[in-house]
Amino acid sequence: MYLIKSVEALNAEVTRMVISAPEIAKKIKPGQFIMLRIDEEGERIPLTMNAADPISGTVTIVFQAVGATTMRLATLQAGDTLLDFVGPLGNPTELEGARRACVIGGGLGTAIAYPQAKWLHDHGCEVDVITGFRTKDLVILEDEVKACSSCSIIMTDDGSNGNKGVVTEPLRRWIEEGADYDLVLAVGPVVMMKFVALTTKEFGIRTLVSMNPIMIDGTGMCGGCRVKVGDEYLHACVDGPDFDGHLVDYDDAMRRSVMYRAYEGSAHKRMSKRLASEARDCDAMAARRAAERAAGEAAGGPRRAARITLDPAMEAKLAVMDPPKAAKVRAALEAKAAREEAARAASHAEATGAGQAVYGEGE
Amino acid sequence: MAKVLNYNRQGYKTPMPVLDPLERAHTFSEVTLGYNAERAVSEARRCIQCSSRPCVAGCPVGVPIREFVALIAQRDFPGAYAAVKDANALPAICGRVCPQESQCEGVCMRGRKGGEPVGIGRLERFIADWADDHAQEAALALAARRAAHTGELSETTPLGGKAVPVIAPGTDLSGKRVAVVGSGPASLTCAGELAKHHAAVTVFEALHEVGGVLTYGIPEFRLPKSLVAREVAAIEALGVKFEVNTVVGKLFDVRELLDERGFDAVFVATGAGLPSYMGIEGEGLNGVCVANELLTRVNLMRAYEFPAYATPVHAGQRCVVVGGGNVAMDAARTAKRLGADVTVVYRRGRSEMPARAEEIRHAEEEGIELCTLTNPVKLHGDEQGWLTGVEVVDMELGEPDESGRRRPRAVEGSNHVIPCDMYVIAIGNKTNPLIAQTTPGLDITSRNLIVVDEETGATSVPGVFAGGDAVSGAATVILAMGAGKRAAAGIAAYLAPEGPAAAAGAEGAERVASADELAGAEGAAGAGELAGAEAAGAKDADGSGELVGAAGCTKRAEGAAGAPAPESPEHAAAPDAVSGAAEEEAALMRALLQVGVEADLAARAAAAVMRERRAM
Repeated sequence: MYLIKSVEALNAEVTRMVISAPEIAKKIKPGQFIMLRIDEEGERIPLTMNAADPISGTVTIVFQAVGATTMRLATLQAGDTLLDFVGPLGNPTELEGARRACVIGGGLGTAIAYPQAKWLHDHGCEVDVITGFRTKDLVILEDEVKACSSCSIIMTDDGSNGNKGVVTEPLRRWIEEGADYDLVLAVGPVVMMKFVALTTKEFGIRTLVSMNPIMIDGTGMCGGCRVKVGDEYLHACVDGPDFDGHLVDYDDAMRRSVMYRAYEGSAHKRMSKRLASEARDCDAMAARRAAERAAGEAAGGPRRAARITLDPAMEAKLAVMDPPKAAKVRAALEAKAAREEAARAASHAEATGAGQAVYGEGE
Repeated sequence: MAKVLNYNRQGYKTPMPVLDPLERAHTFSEVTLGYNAERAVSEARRCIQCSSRPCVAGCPVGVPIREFVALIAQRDFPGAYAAVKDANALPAICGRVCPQESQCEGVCMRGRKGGEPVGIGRLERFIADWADDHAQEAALALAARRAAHTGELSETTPLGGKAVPVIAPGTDLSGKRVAVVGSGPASLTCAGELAKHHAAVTVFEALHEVGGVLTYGIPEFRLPKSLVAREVAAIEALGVKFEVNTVVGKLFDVRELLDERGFDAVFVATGAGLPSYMGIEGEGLNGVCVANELLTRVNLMRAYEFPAYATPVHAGQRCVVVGGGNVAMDAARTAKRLGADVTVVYRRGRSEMPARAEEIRHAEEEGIELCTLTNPVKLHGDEQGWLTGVEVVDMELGEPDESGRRRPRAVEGSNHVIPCDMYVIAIGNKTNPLIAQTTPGLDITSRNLIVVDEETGATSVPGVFAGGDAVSGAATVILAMGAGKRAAAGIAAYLAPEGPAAAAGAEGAERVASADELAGAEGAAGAGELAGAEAAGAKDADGSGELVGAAGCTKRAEGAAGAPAPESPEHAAAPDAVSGAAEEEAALMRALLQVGVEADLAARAAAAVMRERRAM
C-alpha cells in the first residue's frame, strides 16, 4: 500500500498527487515513469514522474482525468492509499551534455517536461521553455516553468492568453533568430511532437520525444507499448519512453492509440455514472447527517440539505464545453466535492462523537 | 521397489474426466477435472515397475516416479505424496502443465512396448490434489520422509542419466541471506529448497502478483490461479519472503543486493518475457497483439471479467493465432473463450508442433481450426489502421534443419488471405536484458541469455546464480524448476563450502536452544491433547513419555514413516534408528499441528529437533 500524502487540483482536469514511495524516490530520474493500480480491480496505468524528493521519500505525479482510471484517481484524497506503485520504469532522458536546450510541453506534457527543464537548468544548461494549452484556464505550472528557464512562452489554441498559436511557431522563430539549440525536448500530444520533430529536422537539431502508448506491465513483457522507430518496433517501457524524434513513426503511434478507444469510452461512461451516483449517495448521506445534527441541536425539524454547488468560474467553463463533456466533468467535480463534504461531515461527527464515520471507504 | 501384484494390462491411459468442449469454450473454468482415487489406483497399476525406470531420467527434477506410482497402486497416498513433494516443490502445477509426453511419459517402458505410457502427469496431479484435501496426513508423511532421507537413495538416481543435484542433507544455511529475482517456477523452487535448509530467502517480483509465467502466462482454464496461490503459500510457510512491485535492475541492481542490502547470494530467474515479432508488414495494425499482451490482460489483469475488472481486452470475431507452441494454444483457447472463431496458423506440420499433445487435442475439441504448413507473409488493414485479414502462403517440408525438424519452404504463388479482425503473434519470446545490462561483469550470450555453470548455476559474477528461461531461452516450467533446484544446490555449496557437518557445527549452539524450546512446546501439547492414548508398540527413543504416547497413537504417521521403506532393497540399508526417528518426528509434528502450527512450519520444526537429537 502506498500512501497519498497530498492532492491538489491544478485545473479542472489536471491533478497533482504526492505519493509516499521512499525507495522509488531515491532512484527515479526525469523521464522515467511509474505504474500504479488503485485497487484489486484496477488497471495498471503508467504515469511519468513530475518530481521526486528522496529526503521526504515522495514521488509526485500529475495526471489528467481523461479515462476511467484517472477519473477515479482524481477522487482520491490525502490519506487514501494506492494498492500498487512500481518504478522507476523506462530510461531516464539523456540530458547530459546539453548546453542550450528548448523544452516543449503540450498540455499535461508540461508536467513531465518540467523536471527535465529543471534538471537542465540546475546542471548549467540554458533552457528555453515553450508550453501549449487549449485555453488559458488549463495552464499549469506557469511559475515553476518560469523559475527554471531563461525564456518561456505559453501558447493557447484559442488565444485566450493573448498568444494564439501552436508551439512550433515560437520554436521556429527562436531558432531562426539564432538560438543554437543542441537539444529539443518535446512532451505532449503525439501530433504536437510530430510537428516539433518536423520543424527541428529542417535545422538538424537533436530532438527527443516522450512516447506514452498503451501499456500493461511496463517491464517489456506484453509488447502493447511498441512504437515504430525507424524500421523496427521498440518498446516504450524498456527502450524508451524517450526516442529520437526524427525516427518515430507518429502516424503509426496515433493509429495504435485508438485501439482501445471503444472500451475506454464505455469505461469512461460507466465511471462518470458511478462517480455521479457516488456523489448523490454522499450528498444524501451528508444531508442526512446534517439533518441529524440539526435534530441533535434541537433546532426544530430537519433542515433542507445544501446542494453541492460549483463556483461561478467553473460553471462558466462548463457552459462553454460541449454538453456531454461538461456533464462528465461536472459529475467528477460533484463526486469530489461531495466526498470532501462527506469527509468534513464525518470528521465533525467524529469530533462530536455523533456516530461513526462511514465515508471514504471506497467501494 | 515392490512389484505390483495385480498389474493392470489395459493398453491405454485411464481416461480423465474433462469439461464438455461445448461448455468449456465459453468459460475460464479448468478444463481437466483430474482422477479420483479409483481411477488413480487403476492407472498406477498399469506401471510395470521396470528395473530401468527411464521415467526418472526423463524428469528434469528427478521425481522418484517409479516409487510414487507404486505407492499410489498400494493406496499409500501419503507416502506417494511425500515421494513427489520431496523432489518437486510444485507437483500440482507440474502435473498439469509439464510436457510429459516428451519427458517421463515419452520414455515410459509401458509406452515403448506398444500402447500408451502410464499417465504419470495425471497421477502427479492426482496426488497433489489429494494432499490439498488431506493436508495433515500429507504434511506428516512429508516430514517423515525428509527425516528419513529416503529420497536420496538410488530411487531418484536415474539410470543412464544425470541426477539432479540436491542440497546435501543436513546442510544448515541459517544466518545466510539469499535474494531471488523473479517469482516464476525456477525462483519458487530455488527459494523453497534453500528455505528448507533455513536460509533467509527474499523473492523480488516486478509485477504485483507472485508466480511469474504461472500467473501472467498460463490461463486459468489450464492452471487455476488459486492453485498457484496455494503452492506459493506453501513456500511462504517455509519462511520465504515475497516482495512484489520491485523491479530489480531499476529500483536496485544485483550489485546493491550483495553489497548494500546484505544478501550473501543472488539467484536470477527473470524468465523470457520479451516478445518476438515476425517482422512482416502490418504488425502495427490495430487488432494485432502479441500473445503476452492477450494473456497478461486476461490472466494477470482478469480482463475477461471486464468491466468488473477495469482492464479491457480486444476480442475479435475472427482471430488468427500464429505459432505452434503452448503459448499459441493458450492464446487461441483464450481468444475462443472471449468469443472469437479461432484459426491457428503454423508453418510446419502438426507433428512438429511443440505444444503439449493434450493442449492441441483440447484446442481442436473446442472448435479451434489448425492450419498447419501455412505461414503469414503480410497483414492487411483498412484506412483507419484496423486489421482486415492475414495473407498466408502454403509451406512444404524440406530437409531437416539443425533442430532436427524438417525445414519448411514457401510454395510459390500459393498466397491467399484469411479474413480476421484479431491476430495474435505467438512465435516465442526473447529474454529481458534488464539484469544483464545492470550487472557489470555478467557474461551473456549473443541472445542475451545468461551464461552459467551447468552443474551449479553459477554465473561469471561471484555469488550470483541464474536459471530458468533467462538462461535457457523460452522453455518449460519443469526445466525451469530443474534449474532452480540445481542452483539451490550450487548456492548451498557456495554458502556452506565445508559441507553439512561443518555448517551445522558452526550454528550448533543456536540450534540447541531452538530445539529445547520446541521440545518444551511439543511436550506441553502432547500432554494436553494425547493423554490417555495407547502407548503400545512405540519405540522408546530419548523423548518424553507423552511423546512416546503420541508416536504410538499415530498409526497413520507410523505407516507413513514406514511406507517408503518395506520390501525395498534400496531402503533396506536405512538403519532402524532412522525409521524410529522418523516415527518420532511424525509424532512431534502431529503435536505441533494440534497446537495450530502451520503444516510446513511444523514439518520444519520437527525436522530441526530430530536433526539436533541425532547430532547429540
